[in-house]
Amino acid sequence: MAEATGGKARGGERQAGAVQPDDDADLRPVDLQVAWRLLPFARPHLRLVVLGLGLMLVVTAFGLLGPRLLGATVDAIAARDADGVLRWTLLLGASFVGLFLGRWAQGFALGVLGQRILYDLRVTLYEHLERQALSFFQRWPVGRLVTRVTGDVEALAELFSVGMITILSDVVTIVAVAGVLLWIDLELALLGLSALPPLLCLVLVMRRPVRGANRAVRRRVAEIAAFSHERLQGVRVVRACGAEAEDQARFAAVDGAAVAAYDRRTHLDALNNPGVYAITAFAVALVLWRGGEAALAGRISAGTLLEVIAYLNWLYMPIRDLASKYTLLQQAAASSERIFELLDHAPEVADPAAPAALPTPARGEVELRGVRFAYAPGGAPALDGVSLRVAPGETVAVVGATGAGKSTLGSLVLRLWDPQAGQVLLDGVDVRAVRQADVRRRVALVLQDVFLFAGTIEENISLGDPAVDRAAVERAARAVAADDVIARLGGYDAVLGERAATLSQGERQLIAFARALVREPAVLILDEATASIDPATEARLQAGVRALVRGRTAIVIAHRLATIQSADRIVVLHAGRVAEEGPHADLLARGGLYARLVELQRLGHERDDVAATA
Amino acid sequence: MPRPTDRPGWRTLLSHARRHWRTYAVGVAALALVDAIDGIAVPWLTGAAFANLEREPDLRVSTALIGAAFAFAALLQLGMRYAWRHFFIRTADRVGSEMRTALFLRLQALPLSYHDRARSGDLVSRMTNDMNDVRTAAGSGFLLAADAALYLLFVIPQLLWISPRLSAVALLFVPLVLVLVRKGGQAVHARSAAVQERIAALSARLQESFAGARVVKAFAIEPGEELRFQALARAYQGAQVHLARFQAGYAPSLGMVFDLAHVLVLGLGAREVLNGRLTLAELVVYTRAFDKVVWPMMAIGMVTGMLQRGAAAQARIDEVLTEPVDPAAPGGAAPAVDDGPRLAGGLSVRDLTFRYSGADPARPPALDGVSFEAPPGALVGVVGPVGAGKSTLLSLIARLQEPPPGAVLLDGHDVRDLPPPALRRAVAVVPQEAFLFSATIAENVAFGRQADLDQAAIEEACRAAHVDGEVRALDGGYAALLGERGVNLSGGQRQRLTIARALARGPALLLLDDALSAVDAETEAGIARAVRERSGPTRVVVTHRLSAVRGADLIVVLDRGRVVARGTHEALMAEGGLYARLARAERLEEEAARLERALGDEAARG
Repeated sequence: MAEATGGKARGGERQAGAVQPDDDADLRPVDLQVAWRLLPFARPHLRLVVLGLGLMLVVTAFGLLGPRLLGATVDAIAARDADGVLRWTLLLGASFVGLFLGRWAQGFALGVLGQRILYDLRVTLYEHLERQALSFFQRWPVGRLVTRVTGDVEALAELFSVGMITILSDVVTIVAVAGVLLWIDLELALLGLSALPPLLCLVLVMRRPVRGANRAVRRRVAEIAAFSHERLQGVRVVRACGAEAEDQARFAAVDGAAVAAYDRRTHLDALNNPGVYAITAFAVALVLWRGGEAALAGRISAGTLLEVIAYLNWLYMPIRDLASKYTLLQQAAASSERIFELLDHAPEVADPAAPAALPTPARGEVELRGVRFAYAPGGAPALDGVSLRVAPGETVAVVGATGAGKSTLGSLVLRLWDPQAGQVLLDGVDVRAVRQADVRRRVALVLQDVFLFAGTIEENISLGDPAVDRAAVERAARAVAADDVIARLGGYDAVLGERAATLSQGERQLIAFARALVREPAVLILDEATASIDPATEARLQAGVRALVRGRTAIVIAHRLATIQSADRIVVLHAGRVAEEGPHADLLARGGLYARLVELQRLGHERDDVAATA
Repeated sequence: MPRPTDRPGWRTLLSHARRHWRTYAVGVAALALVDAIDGIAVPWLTGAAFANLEREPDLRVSTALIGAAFAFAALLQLGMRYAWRHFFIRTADRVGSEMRTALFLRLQALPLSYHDRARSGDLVSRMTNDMNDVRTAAGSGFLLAADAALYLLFVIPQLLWISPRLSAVALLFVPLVLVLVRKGGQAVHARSAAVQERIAALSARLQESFAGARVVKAFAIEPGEELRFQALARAYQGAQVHLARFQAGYAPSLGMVFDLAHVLVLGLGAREVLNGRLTLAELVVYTRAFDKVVWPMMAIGMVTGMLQRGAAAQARIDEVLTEPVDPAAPGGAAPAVDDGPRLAGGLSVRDLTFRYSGADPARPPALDGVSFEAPPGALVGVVGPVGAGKSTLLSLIARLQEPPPGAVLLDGHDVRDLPPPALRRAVAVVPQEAFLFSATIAENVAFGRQADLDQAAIEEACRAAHVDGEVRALDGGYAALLGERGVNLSGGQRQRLTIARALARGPALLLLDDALSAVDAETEAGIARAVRERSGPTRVVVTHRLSAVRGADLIVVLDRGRVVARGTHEALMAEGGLYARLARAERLEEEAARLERALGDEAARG
């Protein structure tokens, strides 16, 4: 008798429900359509699938052999047949060893199969996400994407192990045991099978309320978490308002609701599981009664009676935890839906089917022709008909009030977005006609807010590019005068973990300068830091900018007067349009928008200076 | 080896059982009945059916009776199974609720400096995740322990009684299984830890890669990122397969040990039957009872893990529960006499020097010898650059931080000697951050005074704070729900609601910590007028906007914790110095803002 599995079923009965993060998964019916979409992922591992299914049949067969051999042993004992007893017990032992080997092999095959499929799925999903346009990452919270690639993919494992194998093996077991019982004795078989309809009824009737109760528990626990979290964040207000007593009453209400939800779930559980046990026990009682009579009448042997009772255990086992299997399936289906939602999302910016090549050698010419762009379709345009040509080697400073569309302009040259109208040309070729990677190798971007990875400083500059060696990294860092900052951080091999947070915006930009310079781009787009920066870093930044723009085309979204004045040309963006254009002195003399922007900047600096001395 | 009760958490965990011993005892009784039926009645009833076969016809027991007894036992079990769940699990949920409430009360009473240090996510996790582990230990854990013990208690004597000879061999495998379960559990734990480590590394990488999407895109380093991800995903897969390889063999091998022990019992038992030392029916009873030894072995494996997790969680909870409370919190160490004196709002700050606990002693204190007087009804402005200690000063006056003795006096009483309820009633604080709770607007305004503020008082306060009209315009008005699932308010609206919250309490002393930064100067002046016209509370106003305190009776200029100047606006301007420079910076800023607005307006017109 397979008592190990019997023990497992009991263990399952007593496990406390874990809190599931996904709130509404159990509301939806299982849509097994998604399972079909997973099949392509199983195809490369077809041999393992076949092996797993084959081993399942072996395990079931060995399992079914047990009660038969047990019955034969008992019959041999009853017949006082010592040789028979020895033979049958040895066979019984051998069948258990076979069962063990089959289970072991099956568990291993399925484990490896599941992990291989998950690996493929995870890598496919990740690569798909990496191809998404930047806008995608601005819409989707990072945490949620991480959960999809980790947790949701994990939950899918259940769809393979529970969905495909367990349910299949359950069905095979039930059918086979029912067949064997019917073959042994019609009356006893029918008595045993009579438990199935009420069992199924109980499982079906209880399914909804049990799931409702589980959901209520999750909701209530989440409410406690939300309430406590808010009270902790507002602890100063609670203290200042002397609201402690009042909040204790509120907490008691939230907590009481949770306890009530727990109680309801306990009540339903306490009806459900013992109910299943009682129904099966009644059926066994019937078999014991009628089977005992039959044995007395000599219609069946003592061994057969024991055998039938052992088979009944096998019959009821799969049904006992049907409900929990169903829940697992639902969660897996919900996870796969979420995964396919991502996989079905086509990148908004994609490489052309037949990419053109950029002319070599790179000249570094950038041209915008009547570019119109809005972040939201139909929304207010960030750029509204901008035409601008930047000659190779020229440095253009782009200035304008906040929200004038300056940063957008840089992103479009890199093709982080596509314009809704007009064209962006790099060395005379529309950036949409070439591979994104080709554009981005030729154009480097330095952002205001520099993102630093958790790796070493060297990795943050080389970005893992094998073509960039240590010497090149050091050269670039020296050229932009970032080496002092790097030395302060502990050298190129220092890991930027928590310490990255201690870097000022200016210092971070210096590292970003090196990151850009090391790639020797033909075109540089630089979004200058706005924050006030200490004079020492400021001097380094200016030196860095000079090193960066030397010998290449540069579009500088400028915030510092020194940078603006040293540019070959100044472009004033206003409300998404080019309002003024020309060298510093001319524009200043004109007394228009540019003159006012310069005045605004002067006021800001002066204010900072006064505040700094104050 | 230390006793288990010496390890942190265990003592508290076990104390739950002591506190609720009555309900647990009833649960154990119900469980004992269930286990007795399973471990004794069912084997013997099954045996009875077989005993009939060996008896003379007139000595046979009616098989119908056996069946009926079996069914009756099943019915009894149904009731008792309901009962043990009721008594064990519900008690565990009570334990959870008690611990949650204790934790909440303690968190409410801890000093604010504790909250500044602690991460709220971590504390919430103790209240939910750790609590769940304690609940599981106090429910399923205690239950499984009792269950395993009862089974062994019922089954082992039976086995020994039926056949001591057989039992001498059969029970040999019990220690073997115990060792197997323990070693296996350890191996699974170690391999699972490796899996957790790898998934954490994978998640961290994903997090970086997505958060840095702009860099990844801009530098076209997707191929390199994919290679890194693949390597981590491969390592994770390896750890999972390592775990699966063990688990694939572990459970079946346990099963096989049980099964083979069973075969051994059957074979040896058969010999006893053939030798006439046992009847067939006795052998059937023996094997059925022997089956029941299996479960306690498994349960012991499960229960140790559960209790260990529960104790560890309990230790984390205890850590918070043993933190010393803030004496200024209600129910703290302060004398809980009646309501305390009625306060008029006269404030004296005398030579107040304050250093945050844990601050570097080499550095200057946050406040250094600050003194000033504010008679009832006065307006005191506190200005100074960032980091001058302005907010610290307000926290100390409100006793949100503990001031040194004799440094802060209200109507001549040291705030440390005032009963906290009296202090809270007299002093209202409007913090820098306009924090509102996920509740209705009315509840937020009457926060902490739900019992004694009626709708009229709430509305009146909102009118004074110039927010009444906007609240009425909201869907639901004063009953509109704020927060994630409710309405979103602008920063200015939120600030004015926090002012209303302070005004509604009719304080004798009103402390404003740069509370109107998101409100335009005109509205601010209106609110200031309304505040003055009400009951004329004493006001201490920290501000970056000097215009807000131009008419103050006294302006205190703070710099690096010291009072560097004091006087009226005119006097301070005439003096020059820091105040005058701040005023000039403010003018420049206003000018810049005006210019920027003008540019923005033009841009909007196109």
